[in-house]
Order: sequence, then structure tokens, then C-alpha cells
Amino acid sequence: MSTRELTFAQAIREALDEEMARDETIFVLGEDVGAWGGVFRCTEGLFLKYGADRIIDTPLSEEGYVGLAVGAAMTGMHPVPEIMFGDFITLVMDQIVNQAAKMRYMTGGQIQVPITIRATMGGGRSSGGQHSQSWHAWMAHVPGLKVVVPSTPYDAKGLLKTALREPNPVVFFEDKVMYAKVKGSVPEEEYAIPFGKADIKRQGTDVSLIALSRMVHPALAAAEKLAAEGISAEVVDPRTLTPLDTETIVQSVAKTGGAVIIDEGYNHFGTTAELAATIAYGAFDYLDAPIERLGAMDVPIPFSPVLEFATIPDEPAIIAAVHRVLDGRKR
Amino acid sequence: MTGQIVMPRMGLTMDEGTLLGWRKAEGQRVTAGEPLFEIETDKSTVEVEASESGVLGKILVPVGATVPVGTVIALLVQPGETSPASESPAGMAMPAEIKSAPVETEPGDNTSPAAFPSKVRASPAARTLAKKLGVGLSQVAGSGPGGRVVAWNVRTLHSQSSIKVTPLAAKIAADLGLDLSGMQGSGPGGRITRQDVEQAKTIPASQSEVSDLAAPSETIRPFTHIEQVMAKRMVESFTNAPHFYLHISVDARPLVALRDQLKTRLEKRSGIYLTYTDLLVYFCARALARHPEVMAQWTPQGLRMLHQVHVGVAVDSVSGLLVPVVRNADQLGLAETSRALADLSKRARAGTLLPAEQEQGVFTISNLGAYGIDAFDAVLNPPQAAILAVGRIKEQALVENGKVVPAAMLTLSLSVDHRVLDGARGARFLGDLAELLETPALSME
Amino acid sequence: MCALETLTTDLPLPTEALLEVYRKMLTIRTFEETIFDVYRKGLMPGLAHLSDGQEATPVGVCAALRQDDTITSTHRGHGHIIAKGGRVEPMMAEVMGRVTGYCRGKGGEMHIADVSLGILGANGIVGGGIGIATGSAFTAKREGKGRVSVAFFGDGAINQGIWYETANIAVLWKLPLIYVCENNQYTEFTNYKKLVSGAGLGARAEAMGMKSLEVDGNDVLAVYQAAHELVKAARQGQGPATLICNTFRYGGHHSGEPGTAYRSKEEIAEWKAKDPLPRFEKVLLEHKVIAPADIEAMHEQVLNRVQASVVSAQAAAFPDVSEVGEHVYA
Repeated sequence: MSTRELTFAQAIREALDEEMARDETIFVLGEDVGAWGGVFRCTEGLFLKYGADRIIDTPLSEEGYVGLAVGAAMTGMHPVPEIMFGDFITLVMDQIVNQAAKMRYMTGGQIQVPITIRATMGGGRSSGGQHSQSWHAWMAHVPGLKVVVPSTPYDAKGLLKTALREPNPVVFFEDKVMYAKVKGSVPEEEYAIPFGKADIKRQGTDVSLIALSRMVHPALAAAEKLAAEGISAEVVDPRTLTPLDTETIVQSVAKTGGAVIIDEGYNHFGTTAELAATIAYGAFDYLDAPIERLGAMDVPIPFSPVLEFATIPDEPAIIAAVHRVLDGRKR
Repeated sequence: MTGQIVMPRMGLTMDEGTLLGWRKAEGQRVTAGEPLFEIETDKSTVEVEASESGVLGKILVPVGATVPVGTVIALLVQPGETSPASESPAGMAMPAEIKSAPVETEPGDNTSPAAFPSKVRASPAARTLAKKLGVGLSQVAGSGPGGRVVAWNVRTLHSQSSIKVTPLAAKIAADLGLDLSGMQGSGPGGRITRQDVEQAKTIPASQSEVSDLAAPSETIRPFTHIEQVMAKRMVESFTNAPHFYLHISVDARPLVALRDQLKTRLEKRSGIYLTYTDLLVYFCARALARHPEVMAQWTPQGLRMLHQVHVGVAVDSVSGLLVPVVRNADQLGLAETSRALADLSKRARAGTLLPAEQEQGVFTISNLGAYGIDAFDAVLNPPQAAILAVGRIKEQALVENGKVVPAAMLTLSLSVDHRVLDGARGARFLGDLAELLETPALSME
Repeated sequence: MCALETLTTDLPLPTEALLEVYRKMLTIRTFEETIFDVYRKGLMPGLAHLSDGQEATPVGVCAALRQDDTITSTHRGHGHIIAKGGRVEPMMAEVMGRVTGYCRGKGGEMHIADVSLGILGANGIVGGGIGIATGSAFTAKREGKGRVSVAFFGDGAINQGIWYETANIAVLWKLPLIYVCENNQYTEFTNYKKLVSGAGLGARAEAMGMKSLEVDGNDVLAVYQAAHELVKAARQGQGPATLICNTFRYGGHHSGEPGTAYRSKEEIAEWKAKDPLPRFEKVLLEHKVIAPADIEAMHEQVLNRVQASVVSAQAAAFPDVSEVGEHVYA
């Protein structure tokens, strides 16, 4: 099996390209996705290949073009609207939450809404409080949506291909920093990754690190450092929040007895809370320490780097949390 | 007539006691003189006998609660009577406040689990395991934050129970969820080994029951209270304090000469029999006075600095290990030291030592030389940070000025709490002590 | 802005179509009045949002549409649905929460849909159907079969951002989308004139770059003719347009309030005098399209049918609790 190293953005682009070639109802719409190639380069070159009919530059009207996408999905197309900064999801909440997510159910199954909304997430670029947020928890809270949070180029391509074949509304979150900064090997052969299957990125026995999206990387780095201390950390990447692979997560914590959850969404009422509750319930008898939740600090994301980075969970924070989990315990 | 069972005063300095457990259940007959309940004071666990016969009525104070001396903890009824449900009979001393075993929470941490009096803090994994292994959680010292009992503590205690089993066999049995109390042991002294456990897991339950009835090969003797205390404290010491060990060979010829010099005089003049342990107490006290850091003790809030040199000495009694304390040993002359220690040892062996006489030690000396032991490493006596283990004085070859000469040698082993002292500090103390023993005149500086 | 005369020597539709128009208007009126009764008798859960008085607008517009043209509706959508061909029986069952309803009891009276008829759903969010209708127009253009998409909305949605965002896109991309504003004068409990700035929706539509017509919403043939013109242009690829129909609802905002606290008796009487049904009846009679006896017969038929739908809905089963988790995902 031959592989190449692709960046996260290149993997996204490849998934779009392959699926658009396969299915002509798929079209991309958003701001500067066409001629410009996308602010994060995810649609680079696709405009030339597929034309303005299928890679469509929209006016700056999130609600308008996402609303249009919902209607197009309801009438036989598979639109892929892009939300340049995930923070702008606030502008399209009605279209996603009250329309797309509910159409099938409210019509008793008459309607299908195959729409793949691609939104970005993540801070760390001094973009300020309104361009750095991660809203996957909000989306996961809505029945009727599927929510995807890939962490590697391999996962991103495989999951996006599945999303583009999915007959339901999918919100697909892409971390901005990872686009250019994270590289990984991606096979040339055809593959797709099903929703609802977590990935154990590193096996371990002493503690479970459950990490989402970009946070998988500091979790892996922390695990490496902890290994030098004789601590064997397991890194579990859920990959999709809805559907959630509860079984893999719970089994990991049942094995290790302790969990640290790491996410870039705000901590208060965030995904860390849902995952902690899932673990507390499913692995109750096997918990040997309280569950640690490392979400982003509950403050609007600051601009100055020294402040911004203080709000985002990092390797030292993960290591400290692992020490707390293992305090006073031996295998 | 309903009688009252109260928290007894068991020592001069005892103001309150912790109720550890009952030997009888509500509704059971009680005979005067038989053990009825167990309490713990600061230092020791004491079994309390029933003062009169009757039937144990309502228990008023929960196990684990700490109450002042004199508090009514249960009622004793006569057969046929029922104890009053919740009313207080006239004259009953109601506890002003019920405290429980202190639960430590991290200061300023508003997300740590709430402190709940009278409940054992234990993780779910520990609880599940404790239930499976039949271990009472209140017996287990917790090494987790705030004293939380974690799974490992339960496993450790279980493997130290009176069921004779190898640690590996105990772990395997725990992991497989097997009950050890039905198993045959094929190891030395009937100890259950790994093979026994592995065989047992293939035998269906009914069969192993039948084989027990046919020929019982072991019995279980309940712990004495001293054994329980010792086990509890040793587990606590070993799981909480990271031990490291320093050893030094001491030229014992000066010490032997000193003893020879003084022994006869003391016997004739004061009727005192001078022992090597007396000398060790004397010199250790001086060394401690010069190294107060060795007397420090670790607490979660910081190092507790102690200034009075109370030296404990391990004594074997018929009921087990006791550690009476020679108070202010640095201020006692050799004769006084010897007299004090002789008296404490005698009463320890007779079982008449008061709890107060085992309290407040800052250092412990354990001398197994009399048993022919060359050297050993002792377990720290919590909350002390150091303990000296002494072997026998033995004629050995010593290289002196390039020549091999026979010399009386003594091995000192110091166990140290690495949270309190590092290697260098421990070594400085032990080095100084060895120097004092080799050059006793230095103690006059 | 143009106003159209209604009385011409020849009518814009053939006889059969005219009778169908009348039957639909009558069905809507009867249905709404019956629902009010059903509500009063406690036979339906929740509230009903009734459109009696507004019949001419949806029927007039839908008379200009093909079956494969799509519409989106509002929270006050029974008229749109019946006008587009929705059947009374599954509608009544849905309103009464039965499993035999259009949406198996999962949508209720505000969310009825029938995809086979091109009805992409009534919508509980004001302006909620506008985005969807724009998408349908997008797809229609792609299909290249001349299909159009109609977005019904009320005066309340005139100020919803979604209209402006989609209008901009629809004009830029020349989408076959007809915005039909049913202005029933009142945004919930407030007269629309207090809420809409400047020259109103028509001017705004023209400023966005599309054609706009305004008609008497209670004159079904005027509505039809205006709709027909705009739909034809859209089918020919000339892009979106806006049709403003002025009308009035007789009932309150919902069935639980009478609509009299914020509207004067005079105003209500004034509009009742322009009731679309008798007006159209008159036209039909004058042009000898129908005889008085037929009108009476039709009234009775429709009434029987609607009343029968109540009976059959009452007899139908509620959805089984076990299907509460179904239909979330395809």
C-alpha cells in the first residue's frame, strides 16, 4: 500500500476532489472558495477543475448561502457550504438547528437533508475572541446532526469522504492550525472511515487521555514524555462526537482506571463534560481517580499570545493532570 | 433496665476515641468481659470489653466517628426489652459535636469531592475490589489524595491478611475475581501459590466447597488489636513514605570498652544493668539534638518541626511489637537513660504500658542484635522520618593501618523518609552518630 | 408596482381550472373553520394558526404552478398546502397528532409537508422557509427543466435578514424564485406599518434588483395573473421576483386569541366586506361558469369531506411511543 505525506488541508482537498468526481450532486459554496482557492487552501485548484458551477463563490451571507444549501439538499443536491471561521456558526444557527437538523424528523421521514457543513475551529493564531472558537459541543447538542472532529490528515480524508456520502446533515470541524502544520501519511488507495469509531492513537495501561481534534497532538507528545517517567498513557481519539464511540472510550478507562479529557472547546458545559459523564457512568466500577477535564479556559479567547496560550490546554497541563490522576496509586 | 455503653477513657491523655468496629451486632447477646467493640486513640487500637451482660441494643454512633470520652455510643438492653428508638434517657451525655476521622481536601480547590463525615473516601474501583475481596474499607489506609482509598491499597491490604498467600497469587486471584478463602495452599506452611490459584480457577465452586468439608487444612484466627494496629501502621508507613536506606559499619571497640568501663560501677552503685541499647539511645539523642532536621515529620501542609528529643525503642512483648518512648533523652545522663528504658521495657513486656508512653516519639531504635541478626532495614514508624536498625556486635576482620586486625564491628542501618530528608542529610546524621559511637568523647562537645 | 383589473370579458383560466380554484378556496375556508371548532372542543394538542380570510393568495399563486414546482410555507400554512394539492385527511390527522398524519404526528399543524406535491414544509420559524426555497430554486436551475420555487411568507418576515441575504444571491445567480408576501396587515399583534421602514417590501425588492408586483390579495384572479407573469419570467431564466398580496386574517394570531384586542371592529368589517369567496363566487356566476345550485352542492360536499376527516382522524391511532427515536437520521 503506497502512501504520501499530505497536510491536513491537502487531505481535505483530496477528499472533496475524489467525491466530487464520483457524485455530481456535490458542490461547494462559501466565501472565496472558488477563484481564490479558499482562505485555508482547501479548495485549491478545484475551481479550475470543476468550474464556477460546482465551486461557488457566495456573497458574504452565511445565513443566506447555508439556507440555500439546506434547500438544495432537500431537493436532491449534496451541498458543502463552508463556514470560514467556525465562530460564524452563530449566524447560521437557525438554518442548521431549526431547519436542517429537524426536517427529516418533523416531516415523519419524508425529507432527507444530505448537507455537509465544513466549519473551522481552534485558536492559537492571535485571531481574537470572535475568530478562535470551537463550537463542536453546540452542534453535538443538537439531535439530527452528525458532528465530526478529525485530528490527522488520514482521518480527515477518510471521514470527509464518509460525510460526503452521508444522507444526513453533517457538521465537519477542521482545526485551522492543523491545515498547514500537521502532516501525515495518507494512502493512495481508496478508503473511507465510518462515523462512530474512535481510534486508539497510542496504546497504554496507566491512564486514558481522551483528546479531540488538534489536542490529540499535545496528548501524544505528553504520552511520550510520560513514558520516560514510566507512565504508560493511552491516547483515545473519538473522531466523531455524534455518533460517539462510547464503547471504546469506556473500555479504555475501565482498563486504566483514570481519564484526562482534552479539548479546545470551552470547558464549562463542553464536550469534556459529556465525555466525563459518559465515562463516569460506563466505567464507574473501574474508576480509581476523579476524571480530569482540560477544556479551554472559560474566558473569551484573548489576543496577546501570552494570554491566549494560557487558555488553551497544552502538554504541561496534560502531564500535570496525569500526575494528579496517578497520585497515590500503583498498579 | 437499659444500660449505656460509653466511649471509655483508656489513657490519661485520652479525650476522644474513634469507634472502629463492633464485635457484636444489634440484637446479639453480650457477656460481661467479652470483647464488645474496638476503638482507636491517637496511638493505639484498644479492644473494649463489655462491662455487663445483656443484649446489644441500638448503636448510636456510626463506625468511623470520633466522639469525646463519655459519649454514649450504644445501649445495652436486657433480654425481652426493646431499646428506646430515638429518645435520650435522662442523664445521657449527648456529644457536643461529632467529628470524624479528618479528611484532607486541597485548599481552595472547589472542584474536589465534598468531605462527608463518617464515610470512607474510596474510589469506585477500590470499593468494587474491597467488596469482592471481603476487605472492610475502614481497615484500609488510603494513599490517594486526601487519604482516598484506591484499588492498590485494597489489594495491598488484602495480600497482607491472615490468609497465607504469595503476593503474586493474591494479585492473580484478585484479577481473576477468585475468592482465596476456599483455596488449598501447596506452598510452605500451606501458603497459597500461583499454581494453586491457577488450578482453582478451573475447579467449579461446588467442588472446592466439598473438599473443604472433607478435610479442613487451615483455620483463620482473628487479629489481635496489636496485630491490627501494627499492620495498619506498617501499611500506612510503607505506602506513604518513600523509604531509602543507609548503612554504615561502625568500629564498635570504643563502644565495647565504654560499656565495660561503666557497667560494673553502675550495677554496684545504682543497681542498673547497662545495655548497648541504653548506649545507643544516649548517643542517638545527642546526634539528634545536633541534627534537628532528622526529627521533622511530613504533613500535607508542610514539614512539622519537632524540638524535643523523645526516642522510641522497639520492644518485643508477648503480645507483639511495642515502642515505648524515652522522653527528652538528650537531657538524661546515661544512668537515667538506662533506668528509664529498663522501666519502660519491663512494663511493655508485662502489657501495662500506657498509650501516652508510646506517644510523641521523634525517632525509633530497633535492636535485633540479641537475636543474632547482623543487620536489617526497618520500616519507618509513622509519622517519624527516620528509624535506626541495629544488628549484633560481631568480631570481624578490619583493615587498620594497612593490616588486617580482628575488631568488634557493628552495622547501623538508617531507614529514611525521602519526603523529609535526602541522602546527604540522612548520611550526615548517620555519619555523625557513627562518629559519636566510635569517639564517645565527642558527645561532650 | 402594478395593480391589475380583474373583470375582463374572458377569464384567464379554463372552466375546469376555475372550478378547481373555487373548490380549493372553499376547502381552505371550511378546513380552517373546522379546525377552530376542533381546537375549541379540545380535540387537538397545541394551538392552531388559521388563515381563513386569506384563501385567495395561496390558491391564486398555486394556480400558476406545476406539480413539480415547489413551495415553502409558514406557520400559518394550511392554505398553502391545500392550494398546492394537499389532502384534507392526512392534514387533519396531523393536526390531531395521529400517526396517519402527513408527518406521522411528528410535525404537527405548523410543520406539515408533502414532498410528492412539492410542498417542502410549513415552518415554525418566521422566514424559515425562505432559505429552503432559495435552495430549491438553485436545484431547479441546475435541473434545467423550467421548474420554479415559491417562498410564501408574511409581513412579519419582511424584516428577517434571511430575505435580504437570499434575495441578493437569487438576483446575482438568477434563480427561479418567487417571493410571495402575504401581507395580512398584522405582524402578530402589531400593525405592519409600524414595523416596516421606508417604502416597504416592493421598493426593497426593486432596490435588490428584482421585479415586484403588488395586488389585492383577496382577488384570486388578480393574484393568479400576477403570479403567472412572474412565474413565466422565472421559468425563462429571468431570475427572481416578488409578489405582494394584501389580505387579512379573520381569526387571531392563533386559535387561542380572538384577534380583536388590537384590531378595530370597523377594520375587521371592512375586510370582511372584501371576502375573497363571495367575490369569486360572483365572478363565476356572472360568467356562467357555475350555477347557484352547484355552489350549494359544492359547499355541502366540502363540508362533509372536512367533517368526515375529523371523524376519521379521531378514530386513527396515535403514533406508538416506540417510534419516538425513528426518523432522526436517514
